Amino acid sequence: MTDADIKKLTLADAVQLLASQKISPPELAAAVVSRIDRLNPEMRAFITVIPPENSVQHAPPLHGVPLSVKDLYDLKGVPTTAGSKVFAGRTPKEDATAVKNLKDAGALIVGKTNLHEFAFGVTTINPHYGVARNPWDPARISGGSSGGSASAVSLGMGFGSLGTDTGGSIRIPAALCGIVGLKPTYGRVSLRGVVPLSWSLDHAGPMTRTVQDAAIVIEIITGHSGYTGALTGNISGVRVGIPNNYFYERLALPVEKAIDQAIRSLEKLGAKIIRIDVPGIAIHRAIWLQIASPEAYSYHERYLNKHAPLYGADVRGRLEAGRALLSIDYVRAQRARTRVKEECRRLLEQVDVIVTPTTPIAAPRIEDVNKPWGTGPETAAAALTRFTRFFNVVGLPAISIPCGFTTEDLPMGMQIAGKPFDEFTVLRVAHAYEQAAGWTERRPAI
Amino acid sequence: MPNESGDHTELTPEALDVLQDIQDETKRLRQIDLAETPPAAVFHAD
Repeated sequence: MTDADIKKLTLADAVQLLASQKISPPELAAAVVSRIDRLNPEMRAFITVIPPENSVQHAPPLHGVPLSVKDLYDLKGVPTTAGSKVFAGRTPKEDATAVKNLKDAGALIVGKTNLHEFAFGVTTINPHYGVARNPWDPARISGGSSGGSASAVSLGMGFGSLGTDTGGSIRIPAALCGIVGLKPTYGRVSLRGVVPLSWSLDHAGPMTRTVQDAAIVIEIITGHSGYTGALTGNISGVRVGIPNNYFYERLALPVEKAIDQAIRSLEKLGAKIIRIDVPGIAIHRAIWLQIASPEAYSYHERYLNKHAPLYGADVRGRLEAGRALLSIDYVRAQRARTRVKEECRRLLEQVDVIVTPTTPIAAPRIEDVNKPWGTGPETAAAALTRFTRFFNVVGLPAISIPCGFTTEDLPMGMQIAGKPFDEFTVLRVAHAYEQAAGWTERRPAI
Repeated sequence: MPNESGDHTELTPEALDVLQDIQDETKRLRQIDLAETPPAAVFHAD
């Protein structure tokens, strides 16, 4: 198995090769780990690499396929750092439920990926474990907080990864690294054994090269079937909502062109385009901040009391702000969230999915993340969560899939959100577009 | 009785910036009439 072969393979391809014994699990694992060993010193996608000889598994349906997990998930006997020095020496005695489900299905976990410290940020500029660099241009960020997972999947350092998403942390790095990232419905995937950021907003989900691969992983980690079967390629008559408000404002020109073209493709595939007004936009960021900040502080209080200097300055600041907020505003935010969710439920009687850009910009350079982009004043880092966090507030399933490349060969993402627990339709639309567009076949030069 | 939780009392400059941003955003939230809307369910079954 050559490096070039590894770069081309999807998870489904790799499983097929293993199942048909065209390659053995140790051979495939060795090839993947060799690639990690070669690329990781620069790319910083992994915090911990796990030697495969200790844990090669052959069980179906995954037959020992190499995968990774964000270093927020517990993996028995391997440290969970959460991307922080605060958790030094924390070695779990059990697997997170989602990890256990993958291992029971025959996955080989080859490593734990880098992330924005404690998942509280979108750049994965990690002061302790290095910057998880973008596979398409290492001078740029991979996004975050699951930046290491996105980089690993994009570069063939494993055939899929588990990420987490509290404000966009699966979908943003997926968009910036040219892969597929699915944030399922709130509550769909177990968070047991995953270090929390905000209990009310946290979601766990797959990051893969293709929509089919995401469907395979979600079936395994949820224990529910039917996701791969939903990928019929037929979206004739599917009602696609295109927001009039907010989600198409202040886009970088390449993103605007790419998403327009993607919508036209959906229409050609038989989807019915319907213009909609998304409710709750004016208050959704306040809702998110008033819920995420105190919940995050609540979890971290005991660690901040003892180890505050060990935190990176940005994450410490975000956490500490959470202790100075009013409890009445937390309750107000939870009540407003109920209202926006109900309004969304009514909106989703008119359409089957909502389509938006995942991010208004492609990956920024590392030194530019905290500078205004375009004509300002919004910083690049702030822009990255602009279209994703709404779907954490309302808990709807949302996927990011590649929808084009800039002239600098940087990937851009399209976000498709759906009804609660209707990941089936989200995946079906994403898959049909993916097959027609072919963007996921592109690979970085590295 | 302290009005803030935690043993450490000084907010960092970064925290003060974040706090200002949250407080600015929250003004809009406080203007909404929520009538009898209950809070969202915080926890879901595993």
